[in-house]
Amino acid sequence: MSNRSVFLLISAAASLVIIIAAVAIGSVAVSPIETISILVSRFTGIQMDPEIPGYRIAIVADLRLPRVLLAFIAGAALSVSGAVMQSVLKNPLASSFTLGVSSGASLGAGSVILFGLSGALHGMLTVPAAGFAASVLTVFLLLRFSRAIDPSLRNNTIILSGMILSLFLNAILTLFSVLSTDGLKNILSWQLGSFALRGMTPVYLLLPLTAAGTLAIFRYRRELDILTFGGDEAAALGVPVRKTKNTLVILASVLTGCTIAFTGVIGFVDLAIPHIVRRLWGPSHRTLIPFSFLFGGSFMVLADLFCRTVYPPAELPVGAVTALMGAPVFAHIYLSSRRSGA
Amino acid sequence: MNGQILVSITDCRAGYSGKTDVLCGVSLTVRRGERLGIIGPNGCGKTTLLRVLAGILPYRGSVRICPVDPDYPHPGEPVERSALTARQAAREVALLSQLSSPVFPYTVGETVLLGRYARQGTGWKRSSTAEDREKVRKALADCGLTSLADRPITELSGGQLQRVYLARAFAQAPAILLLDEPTNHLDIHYQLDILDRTAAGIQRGEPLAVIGVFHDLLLARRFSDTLVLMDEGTIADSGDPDAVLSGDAVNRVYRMNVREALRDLSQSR
Repeated sequence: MSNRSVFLLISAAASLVIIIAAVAIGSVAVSPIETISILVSRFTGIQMDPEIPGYRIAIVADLRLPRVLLAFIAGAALSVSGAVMQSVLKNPLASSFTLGVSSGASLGAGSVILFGLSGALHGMLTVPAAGFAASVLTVFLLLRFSRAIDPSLRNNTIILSGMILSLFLNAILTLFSVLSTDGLKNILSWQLGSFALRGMTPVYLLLPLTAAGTLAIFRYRRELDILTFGGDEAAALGVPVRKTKNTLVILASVLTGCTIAFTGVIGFVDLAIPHIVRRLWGPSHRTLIPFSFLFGGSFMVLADLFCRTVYPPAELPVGAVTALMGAPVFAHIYLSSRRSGA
Repeated sequence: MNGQILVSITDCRAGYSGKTDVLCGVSLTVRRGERLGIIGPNGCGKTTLLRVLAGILPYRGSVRICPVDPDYPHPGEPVERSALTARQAAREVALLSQLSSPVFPYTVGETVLLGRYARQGTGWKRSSTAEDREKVRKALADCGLTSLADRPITELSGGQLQRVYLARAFAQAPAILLLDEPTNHLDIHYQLDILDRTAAGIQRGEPLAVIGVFHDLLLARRFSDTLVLMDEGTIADSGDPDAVLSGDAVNRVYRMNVREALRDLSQSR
């Protein structure tokens, strides 16, 4: 047990190092000491070395820091959300994406982009707000639909309903996008996901939300453990199954919905990270939730760093890169679960 | 204390979401120290009855259980099953289901500790107490799992896995243990192993009574001190296992001479 706490502290420290390194690295290299002094002065107001040129301060504090923090929060939120979905639905391949949450968010954000509503309202917050509202709406629709065909809310019903809903929402978005050729490019770039040029607003909004959501989920760690053994068993062990399942699915969907509303669709992290954490520390949610948070965040920072440094000045879309790395993990989980099932 | 009524079911009816009732008016009582076996053909409602008792299915009629948990507001006073919270009910009733394969590799010890859930604090204050650890240690020992405590359950054989689930039910420390065809998918060694360990539990008074659903009539007879025969959602016969298995009702329900068939099966060729 104390072993795990030590690893948790080490992981937290490593995450901090990765964040600072990612802020320092880029087309304009800033030394670690310079980076730290810029960051410290930004957060505490302490005067920094007057020798540091202004453009470097701007790059570190205004461009890279928001980007790196947003990447970390997004990776953490998506990974925790994925861990919850997999446990609640008893399926290591489940995620908010298979349930249609990302399709819902895409449709919401896409509609705003296509119909040009974003200029009319409050500029940069309209698209995320529409994405978030649509993803929450999707979850409620999913739960209503699943309950209508199967009141006991079996896991396979939820997963299959999610796939149906996902296909349906994607089809609507495709039809919409045919109506407008300009919008198509904007939607595509939104769907690929990015952390660039978002400023500190998303960070200020997402950080408390992700922290609170993760803590709320951590409170349910033992219920999550029990739910992986199935609904009937969980009921017999004393878990109010329907209420708990609903709460957890909504918490996980809100985490994903908020995140992709700001960053665009970034897939497979929510699948791969919890899988790797289970491999390293076992499936208990007392470790799975905090380690998924730290690993998911760090992984996303590194993935984004890779995207912006591998082929400068061009940037690779981070959603495509995570999918490229995640798909083999998906195949691995599927094949190994098939083998153990046989 | 033997003989105290722990469960009394009166005219219980239940079914699955809007369809016709599977359980059409069942009445029975279970007393302290009793091992009640329920048999009957496929679809007779025996598993449905168990699911009602486990709190998985809603029901009409009355299913009263007598809470023995000292922390319950009125221990010893019979209360309707549906009036208990999931948490209160789990302190009185535990369920050992048919063998199912786990999805994630929890260790044997972690799995058995989950049986303590309903007796631990909720929310933030929920670390395991010395009593929890002692109950888990004892449940592991009673099920012959002490040396396997750190093994992942995904690496166990079916028989070992069912022992883990039995240990988890023991750790739950219920008054009533429900068995839902617990020996399905097990080899004969583990079939007897699971039933004997359950019977040994009854001897110690942990649990106080067992209600088991069986397909295998010989195992049902071996385990039970009272046998209930169900047919089409009602009770067709009940009483001493030998008497039930050689009565007319059992032949009618299974549409064959059960006594002769069982004798043929056990005879050497």
